[in-house]
Amino acid sequence: MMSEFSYVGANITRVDVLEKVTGQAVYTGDIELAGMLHVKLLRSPYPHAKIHRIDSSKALKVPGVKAVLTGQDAPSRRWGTFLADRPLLAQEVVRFIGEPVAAVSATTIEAAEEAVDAINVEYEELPAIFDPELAMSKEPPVIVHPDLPKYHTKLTGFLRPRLEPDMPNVINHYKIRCGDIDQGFKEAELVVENRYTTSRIQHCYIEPPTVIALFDVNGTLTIWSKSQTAWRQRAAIIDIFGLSPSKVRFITPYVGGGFGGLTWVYEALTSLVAMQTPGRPVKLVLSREEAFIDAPARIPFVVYVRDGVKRDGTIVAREIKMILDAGAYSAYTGLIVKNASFGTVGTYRIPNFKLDSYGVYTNNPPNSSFRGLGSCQAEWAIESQMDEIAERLGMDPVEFRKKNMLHEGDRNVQGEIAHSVGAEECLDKAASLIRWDEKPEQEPGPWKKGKGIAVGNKYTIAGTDSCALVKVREDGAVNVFHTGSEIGQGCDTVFAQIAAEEMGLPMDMVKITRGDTDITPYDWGTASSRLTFYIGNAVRMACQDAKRQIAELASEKLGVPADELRVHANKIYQRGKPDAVLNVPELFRSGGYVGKGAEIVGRATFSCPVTPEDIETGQGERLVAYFSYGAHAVELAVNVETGEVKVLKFVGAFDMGRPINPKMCEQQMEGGMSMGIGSTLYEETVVENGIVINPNFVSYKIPTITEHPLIENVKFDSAPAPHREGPFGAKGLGEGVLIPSAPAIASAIYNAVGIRIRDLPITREKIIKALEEAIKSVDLLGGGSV
Amino acid sequence: MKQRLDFVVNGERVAVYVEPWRTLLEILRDELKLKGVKEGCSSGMCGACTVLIDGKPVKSCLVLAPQVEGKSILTIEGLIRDGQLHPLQQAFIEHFAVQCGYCTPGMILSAKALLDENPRPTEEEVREALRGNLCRCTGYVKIVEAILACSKKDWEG
Amino acid sequence: MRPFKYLRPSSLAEACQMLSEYGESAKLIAGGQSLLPLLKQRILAPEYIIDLKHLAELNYIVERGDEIAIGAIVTHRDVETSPLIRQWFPVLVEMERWLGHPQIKNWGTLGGNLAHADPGGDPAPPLIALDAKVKVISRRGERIIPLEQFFQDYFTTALGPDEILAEIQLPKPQRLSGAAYRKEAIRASDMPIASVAAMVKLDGEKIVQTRIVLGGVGPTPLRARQAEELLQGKEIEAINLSEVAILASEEAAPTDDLEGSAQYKRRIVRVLAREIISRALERAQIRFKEA
Repeated sequence: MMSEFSYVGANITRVDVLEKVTGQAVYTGDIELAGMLHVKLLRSPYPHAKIHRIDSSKALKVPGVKAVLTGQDAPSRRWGTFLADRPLLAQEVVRFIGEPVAAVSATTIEAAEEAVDAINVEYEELPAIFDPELAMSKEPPVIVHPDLPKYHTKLTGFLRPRLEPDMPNVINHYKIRCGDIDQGFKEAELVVENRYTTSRIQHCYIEPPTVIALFDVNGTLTIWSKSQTAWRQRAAIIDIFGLSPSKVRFITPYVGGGFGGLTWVYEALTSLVAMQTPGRPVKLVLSREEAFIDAPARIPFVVYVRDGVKRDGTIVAREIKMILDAGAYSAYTGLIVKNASFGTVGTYRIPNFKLDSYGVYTNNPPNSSFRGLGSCQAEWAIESQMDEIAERLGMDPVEFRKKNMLHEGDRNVQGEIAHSVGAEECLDKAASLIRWDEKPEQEPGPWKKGKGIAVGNKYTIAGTDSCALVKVREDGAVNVFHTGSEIGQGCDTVFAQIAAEEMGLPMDMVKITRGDTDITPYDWGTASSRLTFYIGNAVRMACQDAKRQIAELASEKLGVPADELRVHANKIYQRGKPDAVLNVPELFRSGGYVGKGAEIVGRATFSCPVTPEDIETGQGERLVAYFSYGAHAVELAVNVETGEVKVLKFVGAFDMGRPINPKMCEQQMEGGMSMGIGSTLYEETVVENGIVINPNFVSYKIPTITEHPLIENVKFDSAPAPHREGPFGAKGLGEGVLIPSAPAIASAIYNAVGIRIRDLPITREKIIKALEEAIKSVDLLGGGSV
Repeated sequence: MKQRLDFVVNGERVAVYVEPWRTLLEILRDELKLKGVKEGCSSGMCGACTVLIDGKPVKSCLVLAPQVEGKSILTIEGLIRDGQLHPLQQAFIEHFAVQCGYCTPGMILSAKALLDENPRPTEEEVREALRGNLCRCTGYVKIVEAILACSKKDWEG
Repeated sequence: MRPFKYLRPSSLAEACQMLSEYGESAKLIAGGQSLLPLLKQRILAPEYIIDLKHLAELNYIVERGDEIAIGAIVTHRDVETSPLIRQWFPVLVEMERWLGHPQIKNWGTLGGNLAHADPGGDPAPPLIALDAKVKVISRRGERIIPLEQFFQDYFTTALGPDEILAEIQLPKPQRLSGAAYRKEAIRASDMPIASVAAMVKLDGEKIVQTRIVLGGVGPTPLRARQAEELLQGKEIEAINLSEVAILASEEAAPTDDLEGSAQYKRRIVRVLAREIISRALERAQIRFKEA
């Protein structure tokens, strides 16, 4: 296959893989520092209670204990991603079962545990609230954050907190209004209305949350953490403690899985503990149980969708209400309230559209960001609804979707003009891979087969920035500096490929330095599937800047105008001369520096513009960086006696603009399939009255290797629609790969056994219950017994 | 009260002094500084702590330290021979079987034990043997492909 | 884990000695696959741990006349791969196949599993179906307990505080008998929603003996005696398997938990019982035809 590029688009071996297969890759927990202390936390046993008294006297006496802290030792400034609502340790009130109330640092884990067990807390229990729909009423029985209007908020350009004064537990409320919704429903010839829910699911990264903090004798705070947002966490810590920015350093080693989950209070909390023992680093590792409770989970959504369509399949009206259970502290919820809405916007062309999205406090353990940032939940509802409408209209679900899809140049319900829309091709490819037109072959016995399909979109956030530095070494090799997190998605490799392509250098002349805010430049965060686009562009621009500097140095050396010079493959070429006129290393002095300016460092900031949207209508010109698209198609079998679902074939196609590394794109698509299977069929953190009942890998089940189709029955393809602003046309992929999975599986289950489940996960028991009710209603209608 | 344990790790005799309530995982990581073996859940469910004891995969977080006496342990660090990557390591690289890498050491060791016992497994047998190693990143597709690719070559362990 | 004193007896007799001395303050450890998680969560914090794992005296699978004896610390993997077990008790190989994970099987022991007495444990139902007994020893002597009576309640056995489960004894199966076992679980090697083991012995076309054991649906494994009675003495042709299965499910005593609701577990018992009894019958018939 002819490629216009040498490295971009090629299956380049990952630059991190050698370290990982040899066990040499360093994760946060592998770091050992002299004098390191262990941190353990005491957590609240009540979902809502006043703290009257904390007696740490016995804990302080345990040999090896260096510090015991409570909320009184924590700053009054709270932590939060967009809304500073969470104290580092509970102050006066606890708001969920599991909220950290005290922290201990000690020389051994056993001493820390013993000290935690020895702390005595006097609580006065308060009534608690767990149902978000009840909590969002105008007079809820419990107000979780009475001081909400006073909390400090980050007024970034694209997020405004909309604290609803008459709904005291609502964090914010996002609106989209397009057309005339009442008129739309008047024109409809069929109205379908349903309620959908998703469960609280967990990232289940295999590396547990781990933070090390050191406050040294110079007053410099250094943090090592498995983070996805080093710079912004650093900013939060600077803010909370009133530190000088020059004295806070945040380092992110290799991360053993992120999946959107790594924004939490723990870096700030561990820093607080570290400050008690200047010169002695402290390490906090959450147990898996703690991670299930208070490493925030995916927000459970309640989504009401009401659709009006014409008999010919045109959607004329769509009304959506989304209710997000933030749990006790909001973390990312405030952003997700708005950004989940993009999931309802990105795929379809709808003339009359109304959306209201609410973030609500409850006394459940906190929920926050997760791969998909709310789009999974929103599109679970939308795509399930599309499947049902198609069936009721007697239309093929693929054709029904295509009839209503946005195309290049269409205006979406928020007023943005669609660009780079590969949705239809993804859908067609997925349909082809699953042989959509062929009915599955049924066999005698309790297993009934079915096929299902769904499409999905994933926006990438606009209005953020990423920076990159590209340093040229004396042999002409380049060193790229960035602060993306390598969470497994392969960002280091992508940036190396982009740099190699831009500089014309082989991969082994590109080095990546990542994740140290003293050395690597700003990045908004490894989230929203944004790194390839944002940092990729920044790397490309920084390479171009480096080449400009090289040309200028060469120009001086050669006495030739810089604009006649071109830099490529470690050489400098002059217009009109076929051979290189200079080698890049010749610009350096012996010892490895340049005479003018010491170093050649290409620098760039890539910003994606954003326009503020209208608060009442959600209309705006540039609200997202772009949408990526994808489709899943599934063939499965349902056992009508046990409700078990076996996924037999899983296929899909995704539009990531341009695959920078096709094999790595496959990695993402295959991973999305796996998370899709688990999150659709059995993943659920069971929370009863605020207690997490199953905080472990035994009872919270993620798919093992045996719960997947055979490899011959898994096939992924790409249908890239290049984006004019992406590096080489590339967009993002990491989250979109999960989104169509739940509705595709649900659609296949309906195809197999004729029942629709609207509440995730689709467990065996829900299937059996629905089958039993279907049989009953057949009986009631005189249909005879089965 | 620390007690002395004598055993073999990656072909070398070692002696450590540890309290009996430590696990093999802690000995490997904290005493012997072999950081390739990982802690994922500490309750024997995720398999990130898998090492081979006398050639068989075991979850090192669930092995009480004193029971290690006299045993021969293989960790990921012990796979390289004469500076050459083990065929499984090579296969994991070539087949893109690694993403975040946290499950990788345990996964490779379980795969090695499988191929040592059954050099030509079917795909079903591969899945059955690796079911104690969780991965959240990959969907296991390329892990299976890498192991099957190894199984098609001459296997010397 | 809370610190403890570690004791390493050099013989079974010494282990009994230690256990009688420390009694309630001591916990025995074999593979520790069930014990260690409890110690780590500080649910248990014994003062003494007495280690049995290295005792060769407890590590054997031997043929003794009409029975096969398995030492308590034989690993699950060794049970699964033992030529004697493969020859005489293929149902145990079947059971071990999906027990836990390979890593757990390589270190965890059959005796340890039984002593832990998790009501969902895989080994108990097929062992009971095979009429297994356990030998329990102490300084005071030894006693043989039918495995069915060994389990008394959730995680509670007939073991006294000074007693050690030393051996599992299995009578060689009758020539014309067949056994089968399966658990239904959410993921292949999870603890069961429910499990069923069945043994049937034939005389020609007639069932002369049967044992049906349900796992994971009560505080201990349960014999489905009424279901057995429906089969006892019947010709194979005359059996209504659905009826037998329904009765078995009614004899289950499940509770709602994370693996499933009680009602759902009964359904699974019904589905499994039909399948497993049918398979045991098939296997018995094959033995009959071979004979």
